Formats: sequence, C-alpha cells, structure tokens
Amino acid sequence: MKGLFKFLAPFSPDYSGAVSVLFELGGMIVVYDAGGCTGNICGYDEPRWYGSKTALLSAGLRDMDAIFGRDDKLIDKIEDAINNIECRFIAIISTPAPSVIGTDFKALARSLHMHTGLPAFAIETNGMDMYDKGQEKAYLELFERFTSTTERGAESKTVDIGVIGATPLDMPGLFISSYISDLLRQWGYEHPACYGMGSGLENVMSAKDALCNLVVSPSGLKAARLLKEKFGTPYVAGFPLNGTEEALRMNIEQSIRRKRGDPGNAYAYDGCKYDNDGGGESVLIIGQQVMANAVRESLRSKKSFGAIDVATWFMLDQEIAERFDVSLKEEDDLERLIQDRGYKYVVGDPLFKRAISDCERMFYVDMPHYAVSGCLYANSLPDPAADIFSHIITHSE
Amino acid sequence: MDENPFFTTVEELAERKSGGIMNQTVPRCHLHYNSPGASGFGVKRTGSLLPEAIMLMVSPACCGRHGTIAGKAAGFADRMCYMHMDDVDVVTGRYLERIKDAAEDICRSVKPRPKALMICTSCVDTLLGTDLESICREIERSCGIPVVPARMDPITREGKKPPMASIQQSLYHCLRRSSTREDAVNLLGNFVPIDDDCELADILKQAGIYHMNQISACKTFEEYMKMGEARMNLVLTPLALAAAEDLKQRLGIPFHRVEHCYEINSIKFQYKLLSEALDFDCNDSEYHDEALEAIKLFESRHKGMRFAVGQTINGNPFELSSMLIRHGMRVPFIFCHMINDEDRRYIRELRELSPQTRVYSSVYPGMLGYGGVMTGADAALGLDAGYYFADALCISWNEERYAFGYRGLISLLGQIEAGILNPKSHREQMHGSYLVI
Repeated sequence: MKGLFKFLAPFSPDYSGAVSVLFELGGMIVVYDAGGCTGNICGYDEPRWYGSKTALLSAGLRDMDAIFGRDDKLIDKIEDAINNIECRFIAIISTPAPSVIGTDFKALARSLHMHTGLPAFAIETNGMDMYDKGQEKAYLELFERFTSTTERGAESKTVDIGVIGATPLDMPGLFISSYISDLLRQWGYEHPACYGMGSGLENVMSAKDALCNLVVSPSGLKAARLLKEKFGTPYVAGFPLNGTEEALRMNIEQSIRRKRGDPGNAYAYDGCKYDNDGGGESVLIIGQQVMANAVRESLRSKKSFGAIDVATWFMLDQEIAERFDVSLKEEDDLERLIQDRGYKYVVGDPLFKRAISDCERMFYVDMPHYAVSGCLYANSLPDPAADIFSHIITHSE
Repeated sequence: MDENPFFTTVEELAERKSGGIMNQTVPRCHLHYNSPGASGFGVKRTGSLLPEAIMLMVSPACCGRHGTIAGKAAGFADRMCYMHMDDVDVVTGRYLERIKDAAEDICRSVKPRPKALMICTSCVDTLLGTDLESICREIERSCGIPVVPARMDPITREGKKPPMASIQQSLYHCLRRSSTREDAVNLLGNFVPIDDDCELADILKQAGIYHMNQISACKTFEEYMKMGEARMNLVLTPLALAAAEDLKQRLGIPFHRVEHCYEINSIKFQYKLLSEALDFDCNDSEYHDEALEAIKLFESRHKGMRFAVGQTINGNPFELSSMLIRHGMRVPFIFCHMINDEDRRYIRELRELSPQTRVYSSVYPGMLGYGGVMTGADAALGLDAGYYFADALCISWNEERYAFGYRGLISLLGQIEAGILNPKSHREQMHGSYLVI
C-alpha cells in the first residue's frame, strides 16, 4: 500500500542529509523547525554531534509564529546568536512545518544576508524526501555559491582530487574520509579534499583546481556534473572497496588523461574477472548506489555469480546503473523483488530483514547503512579494506 | 565563544515574575541548542506504553526517524507502523483517505492482531487543522477496535497542552467506567513502574488500597482497561495533569497531585496530603526514620560535595538541589530550560539556601562548545548536566527508573554512592539509554 511501512522504520530524511554536508564547514546551520527535526539530526543522524562545536541550532518554531508567518522573529534570533557564535555563513535548513506554510526561503536568506552581512542561503528540504536529496541540494548550493571561478594564487590551498558524497550517513564510519584521502595520496595525488568530511570551506572554494572528482555516493553526482560543466573537471563514480581499488585508480587516471587530451590506454582496467551472467546463484545488494556498485564489482572480481543486482530506496542514477538495477519505493517492493527474481544472496542493512518474510531461506549478509539503522550497528560497520564478503564466496563454493 | 556561558542566579530568578524572565530561560525567545545530554522519553515511546496496541504514525517520514533507533533499542519497534506523506499528499489532503485503509491493513496483517490502534500525527496536521478525532471514530467503526488520536507536534511545545502532556491524555483515551473499585488507585505520569521497594504501596494499604495500577506495568489491554475502575488517580508529574483532568471529566475519577520530592520533610508533607485526600491515618515513621538515617550517613561522608543538577533527572531540579544543600552539600550549578509554576515555589525556597547558585539554560545557543569543559562540580545529576562536566561523576538518574518517596531518596543516595565506586562516563551512559534528544 502506498506510503505504508509496517516493518521498516523511516530512513534519514533530506534535512539530515543537508546538515551532513554542511556540518564541518564552519557555518551556522539553523534548522527551521520546532525542535523535533533538530533532535532527529543531533540524536540519530549526526555521529559527529557529541562534543562538537558546530553551530547547529533549531529555530524553535512555534505554532503562532508559523500561522502568522513571523520570519522576522527568526531573523532576530539568528542575529542574536551570531553575536556569540562565530560563523562563516548562515544556512537555513527547511523542515515540514515551514514547507507547509509556504515560507519564502529566498527572501528569508536575502534578508538574513542584509541583516548580518554574512553569506546566507536556504536548503529547501521538506522532511518527506530521503537524505540523499538533501545532500544533493546542499552540494549544489555549496559549489555554486562558494567555488571560486577565478584562478587562485599560489598561496591558496589547492585541490587535486575532490571527493564528493562522503558523509557519515553514506560511509561506513567516521574514519572513511582519512581512508579515502590516504589511498588517493598513495596513488600520487597530494591534495585530496573530501568535501564536508575532513575538508573545510577553503577546499570547496578551490574545487575548480581539481583534476578529477571522485563521487562516492549518488548525491554527489549532480554537483560533479555541475563542476564538469563549469570547469571541465571530469568525475568518476566509485568507492575503493576491497578488490575494486585498482580499477578505480585507473578510471581516475584515465579521466585526468582524457581531460588533458592524452587518451593513454584506451581501455581502463575494469577489475572484473567474471561476467554478470557467469552462471551460479544470484545476488541482490541493497544500499546507496555507489557503495552497492562497489560491492558488486568486488564480488565480480572474486567469483562468478548469476545476476548481481542493486536495489535502493535512495537515488538510482541511470548513468551508473546496470540493466536490472531497481529503484524501490514502497516497503513491499523489496519482498516482491526478491520473490520475482529468487535471489540466493542478499547484502543490506540488518533492519531490511524485517521486511522480508522468508529471510531464513536466503543467505543474508549484513552491511549496515547509517542512513537506515543509525548507530544501532555502528560497531559492525564494514571495513572497506577488508575482504568483507568472503563468506559469500565461501558459502557459494 | 564567550569565556563563560550565560547564566542567571537563583536569587535573580526568584525575583522575576512569570512575565519578566530573561529571554535565555524562555525557549521561544532564542534559537535552541540541542545538548547531546538533554533527552527524555519522547512521544512514541510513551505511546508504546498502551499495551497490545500499535501506533500508526501519519506524518512526513522524517517525524518517525527517531523511532528507528530508539524503537529498536528500547524494544517497541515492532509496535510502530508508519504512513508517510509526500508534498502532493499535503497539498491535496489525499493521505487522509488512506489512513483508514492503512489501519485496516494493519489489523489484517500484523500478528498478533492489535487490540487498539493509536493514530499519531505531527506538526503538519496541527498546522493543517486535521480533524483527527473524527478520523479515529471512523476507523474505530471499520476496524472494531479502540482507536486513539495522538499528536507529536513540538510546534505546540510551549502551549497549553504540549506533546508530552497530550500523549499522556491519549494513553488513557480507551478507559471506560463500568464500576468503581474502592481498593484501587492509578498512578499517572511515570514512564516505568515505580520501584518495587517503594513504600507507597504499603502506605496505600493503610487506606485499604491494595491495587496500585500503572500503565507501564500492564501486560495486557484487559489489565489496562481495569484502570477505569480506580477510586482515584494519583498524578506524579505535572505532564499527567491534563490526562487526570480528562479522566475526571469523562469518567468522574477524582485526582490528587502527589509531588515527587527528595527533601525528607517534603516527602512527609506529601504523604500527609495524600492521607487527607484518601481519608486515612498515614503512618510513615518507619520509612521516614530509615530515610533520615540514610541521608545523615550520606551527609557525614560527603558533606561539601559539589553538585550540578539537570532537568532530565527524575524529579524537580530545584527541589532536589534544596534537599542536597539542606544536608551539607553544595549545588553551584543547575541546568534548566523551562521554568514552570511548580518550579517557582522551589526556586523561592532555594533562594534562602543558596541564592548564588547559577542557573543555566541548557538550550541557549551560548551553551554550544561547553561540552566537557565546565569545572567546579564533583558530581552531575542528570545527563543534561553531566554533558558539561568531563571531570565530574555523572549520575543519569532519569526516567528509566521511577524511585519515589522515602525509598526514592535512599535509592538516589545509593546511586550516587554506586557512581562513586564504579564511575561511568557520560558518553557511555548516553549510549546505554534509549532516550530521545
């Protein structure tokens, strides 16, 4: 039934996604809500919150303010707060209540800028979309607003590889920005910048300098396309999971060569030893698309399976999808998909098991996803460098 | 960041009348900081106290998010269902027609079949003015089980009936009055059953009351329905007053407010008031003497100990602070973001004992960045206070257990002693709780 979720509890919403992108950038993030939405973010969706000094605040919206449209009150509150808290910009994050009353966010941001002199913008989330939609909006706003279009001086920080789409909601652990950056350094890139997770606003400003952007979750694709359109920066979508690192390294290298007009090796090493239709039992991977694709590549690099399909309740970008990959919308879509295609192996967040009636029939491999189960399985998030799917390989032999 | 976060003193607070409280202590006047230590039971977990019922959350998906983690950790996830709405739903109102279908689907497919449904809406429906009561009545007719309207709308938090008061009222919506049992009373407002060793049950027996009903102790819906037969409702927290008023009006059950105190004479006074309300001679001397001995022993061991007291404790922070100070301890810090009418009496009392105690608003944006950096307390009571003092002993003492009366005081002192012997970090205790920030 449309919209009815009897077994799966809600995933991280769009406003949590927007905050996850902006969290480390030194702005004042004002969630335009009554307090509950900020509580969701701080309590469940933002593992960096405990002990943090990030100015993430709730507007403290009340019914009468909403009914009478008292945006001026919010402006007063923010002006009062910035007297005590240093910040580089003001970001208003919308939630269901201001969306319902039709708040004019552009006017609000303009007004805030006039009152405070700080860059001010709004991310028009509504709490009804998934976290990745909010991330996508936040990345676009960041790169459109802050990335310098002019050549930067030698004293400015430079970026040679930008990483877009890494947030705690998508990635298996807070260490992941260092993991990716270290790997990129090993590959010869001295200044990797994991935007929003380990890198600051200066790096966003220098994004034009990047030779290539690595997109590690689908929410970064639009921003990567924007940067390609504006500055000609190529992008590669992928995640360096065990068994896929070399393919990713070569794809990045190839993209940079192409940008320089040097075709190099026409065919990049794709890392896949086995075809999708190599026979054997089929696998379903449920999760954010880029990570799920990486799992697929990792499995293919090790053994021949039947179909390996990706399904997701989050974004499914056609450019990086394979033919039988599926976008899920309703709760019972998953059950139907599994029944129709008869998967033997399913990889996904442990909470998805509740929505599969005969889960015992299949071999289910837990791959916790923070945007689904939050901190519940934070101690068992997969280590991307380890051979985390070895038990699938062993079981299928 | 300021060198010190903003505070006001107890003396200053006591001098202010309700209209004159400075804006840092009135949450609607400033942006809100969500301290990682400020947490409570939340509407969903409270709603889950209705036994053998399922809550259907009708809202944008985001409103149910904290149910994912808190629900799984606290064990009520399998009694929550969600009906998500999108922007077209909000504009057209078409989701209202789907609620009935969703309820029927739940009654048909969820095993075991729920004995009641709670339909909970959010800020969106409060703003849209949805007539939830009539929707619930219609569903009740089609599903044949009681259907309870509930609201989780923090947008009304400082209104006459904030969400945590409203959900208390919803909890008792199904009760009917078939007969009266003179030997039964209900306790309203506690989220978990009162501690087994609490003297309240024994004292009530002196009044001929042998059944002390608590919704959190009811295993079945039938057991819960017996609460409708009680002679009186004893209201343990101000948040349950609206529920008690409703039960008085609907079912004619009178109520009596029993304040949750730690100061030994205040506890005695509360029992005196209770004996008047229930018309019996209360003999509490055994429990009184036991508590007096415990507090004297504690005083001899810990005189001069400095406490920070938070609002998330099980009790009133001003009252508890008064008790500690009367027994030789010091309370330099209190964390409290809302001052209500009941607090004012205790604030006036505290002014006489410790006028310079600093009161911090834990939701004031100026508190940002002070996590773990404040000094000057040896122990913090409440996770909200504990967040700010990395070097202090942290005692959560929250609503996860309900220690009450003389034995409640003894339990608190025991908990502090246990904390001294076996300290646990604030973070560890936060992760161990299922509370909603």
